[in-house]
Amino acid sequence: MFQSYGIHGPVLGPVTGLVIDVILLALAFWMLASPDMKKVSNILTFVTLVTSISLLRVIMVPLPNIQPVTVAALIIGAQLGARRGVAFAVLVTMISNFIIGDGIWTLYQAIGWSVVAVIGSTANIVVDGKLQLNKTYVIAALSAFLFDFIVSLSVLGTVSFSGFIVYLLNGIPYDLLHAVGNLTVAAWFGTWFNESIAKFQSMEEIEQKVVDGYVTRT
Amino acid sequence: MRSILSSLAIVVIFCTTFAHAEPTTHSDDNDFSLQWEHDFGQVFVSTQPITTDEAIFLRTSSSSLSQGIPTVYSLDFDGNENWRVANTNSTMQDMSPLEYVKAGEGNCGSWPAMVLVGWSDGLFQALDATSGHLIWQHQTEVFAWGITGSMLVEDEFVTIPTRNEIVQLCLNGDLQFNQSIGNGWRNGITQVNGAYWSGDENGWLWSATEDNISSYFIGEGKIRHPPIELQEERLLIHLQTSSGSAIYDFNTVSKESTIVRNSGFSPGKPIVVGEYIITTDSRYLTSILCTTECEVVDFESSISNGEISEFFGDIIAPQNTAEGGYKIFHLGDNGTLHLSGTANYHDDWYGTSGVASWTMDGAKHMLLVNDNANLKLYSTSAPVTAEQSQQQQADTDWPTILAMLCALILISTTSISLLREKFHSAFKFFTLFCTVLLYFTLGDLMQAWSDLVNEDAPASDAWDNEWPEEWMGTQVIIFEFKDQSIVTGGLIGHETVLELTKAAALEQEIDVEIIDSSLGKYVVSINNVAGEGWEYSVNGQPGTVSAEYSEIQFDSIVLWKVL
Repeated sequence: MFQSYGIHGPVLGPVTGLVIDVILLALAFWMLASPDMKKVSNILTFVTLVTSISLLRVIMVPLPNIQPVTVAALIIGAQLGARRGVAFAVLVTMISNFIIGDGIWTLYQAIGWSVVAVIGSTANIVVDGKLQLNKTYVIAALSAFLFDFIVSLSVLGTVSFSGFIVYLLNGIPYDLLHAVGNLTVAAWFGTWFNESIAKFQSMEEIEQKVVDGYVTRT
Repeated sequence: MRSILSSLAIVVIFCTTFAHAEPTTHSDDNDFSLQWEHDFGQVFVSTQPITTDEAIFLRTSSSSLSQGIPTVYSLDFDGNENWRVANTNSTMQDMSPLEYVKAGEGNCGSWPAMVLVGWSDGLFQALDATSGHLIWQHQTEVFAWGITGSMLVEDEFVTIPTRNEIVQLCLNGDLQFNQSIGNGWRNGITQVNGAYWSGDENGWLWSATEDNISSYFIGEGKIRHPPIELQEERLLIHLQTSSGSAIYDFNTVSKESTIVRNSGFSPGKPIVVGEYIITTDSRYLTSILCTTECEVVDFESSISNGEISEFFGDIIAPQNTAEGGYKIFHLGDNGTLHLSGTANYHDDWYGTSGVASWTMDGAKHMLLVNDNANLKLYSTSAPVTAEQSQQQQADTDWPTILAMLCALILISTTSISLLREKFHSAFKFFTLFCTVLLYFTLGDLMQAWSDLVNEDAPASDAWDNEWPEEWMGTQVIIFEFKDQSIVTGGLIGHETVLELTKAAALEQEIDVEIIDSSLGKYVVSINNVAGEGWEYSVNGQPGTVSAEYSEIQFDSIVLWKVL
């Protein structure tokens, strides 16, 4: 996608592209490989989440740099844990880019949203099942800049360091729009989205239940 | 707290409303704005430019070649030069107004559209109005200087006042007759009842026909304009005298002259406006009504010694002073004069050239020039026609209007929520408002930001010496494919890379596929070649934003390269 903006990442050959896709897919399934994913309902719920957010991202492409995935990754990371947050981020990136346009940026976007999901899992934005809105707003806004920075790293190797700085500077209005978009998504849909996936147990909860059950039996 | 919030809400609502107010059309707007100016150098321009449907014609003059070469120019209405014809021998101040003659034919033969030029070296030329090529020329007698006065074009003849002759030529260049008269300067010809009348520098009025020449003394002084024809075969003469000037009513039948009024020094060329004659000099602009006799109706203070002109129902008089500028007078139905305004410009100086003014498609235009020889075209905006109005309505950007309406509603809701102390609700509407606002201002924001953080590289960095020289100073765009390049130059007026790309694609008849993306318009393919994508650079500098937002200069060189 960045080719149209003058600066672009390395052009991928078909083999390299395939290798990256396989690695990303393997990462996603490895992250998903956990006991609770053997339940059909959980699998269906996760597939629904991935599909709906991917679709939403595709639909919202005409809106400049408004990325619903960022807030979704943040909350899923917080609710379901880092592993499923990363899996979600990778799968949504791959599926939506399959329609929007695939390239080296897919790798960086997957990494970017995975980092956001990990931050969500560690930032305590969900306490007792409730989304801490003020904290979420702050992290959602900052996540926009972090994600855009990570994606911008894709041009390294094709521009000088000074060119990279100019590239980053030029992107600030986009970053700003991403941040405002994140605030809007979080304000309007954050609580609803959080409650919708609250029943979907996190890895940590599953582990806790397994431990509790073992302790009870013994 | 509530009052502060209320005030804030009102301010924001009003700001939002007015920030997006549509500009109104100015169909009745008489404000002239500068369209272009053309500086002819150190020469003078002493005569009014003339215009046709196709071109502007203007002459310059000088008293020495070191000052500049006297030249006749043809310009288009964008101020670009069509052609020029110079005369290095004509260094006696060329003050003979140009005349345009439509193509025609008569007993003398036929002629194309021509510009007739009388030079101060006595040469009279007929130039092709389209090309400037010489069609024919006639050398008149020279006594110190040659032609400096106003010629008279009638049917198939042109009658020329030279220094000491009245010469009549057919419009194919054939000589009809010439008659010797007293020495004149900036004189002019008027035809009354078959005779041609012209004054001289000693106060004599001459009457010439093919077979006869006679003269009549008007008074001590100089006659430096074409006499004005009045009723009952009378002429009005504004005689320059040693103590100022005197206006005479001369009867061509009885050969008697009657003084109408004494006035200021250095009279200019009188004109007829409706039933009134307007004279001008260093003291007054005077309105005179001549029926069975002439009487002064009104006069206003003015210092104008050259050409005065009708100007959209008024009279405009260039002020021949160091301060320069123009006085505009309204001539009332009863002949009264009223100073309706003055006009001043950055290059005001002494001036005697009249103002050419015309209306085209509802827009008013005027050409101004003074002794600084800097020609300026000023125009008003054209009124909106019913068809244009319909087109404007069809072009109304309804999505933007709706979006702005949404923004207004959102900020209003935000304000109301704040007043009700529902802060979370207010925040929700506020974020939505910000998103809508940012979305619709992103283009301007990106361009402004891009200008701030990017340094413009000079176009010379990307210039290819093999390109035609006429492309220099214009916008050039290159589509670089793997096996060939398509270069388009000479483009002007495009503001962004995307606009230029579309224009070049249209000119080269190639397809450009563009889609919307989250970062702006995205060029998918050019000439059906997508490759691994396209990247662009401006003057050799890689683009850093969408082509939609990348502003370019008048001489930018844009390269699109397939990957």
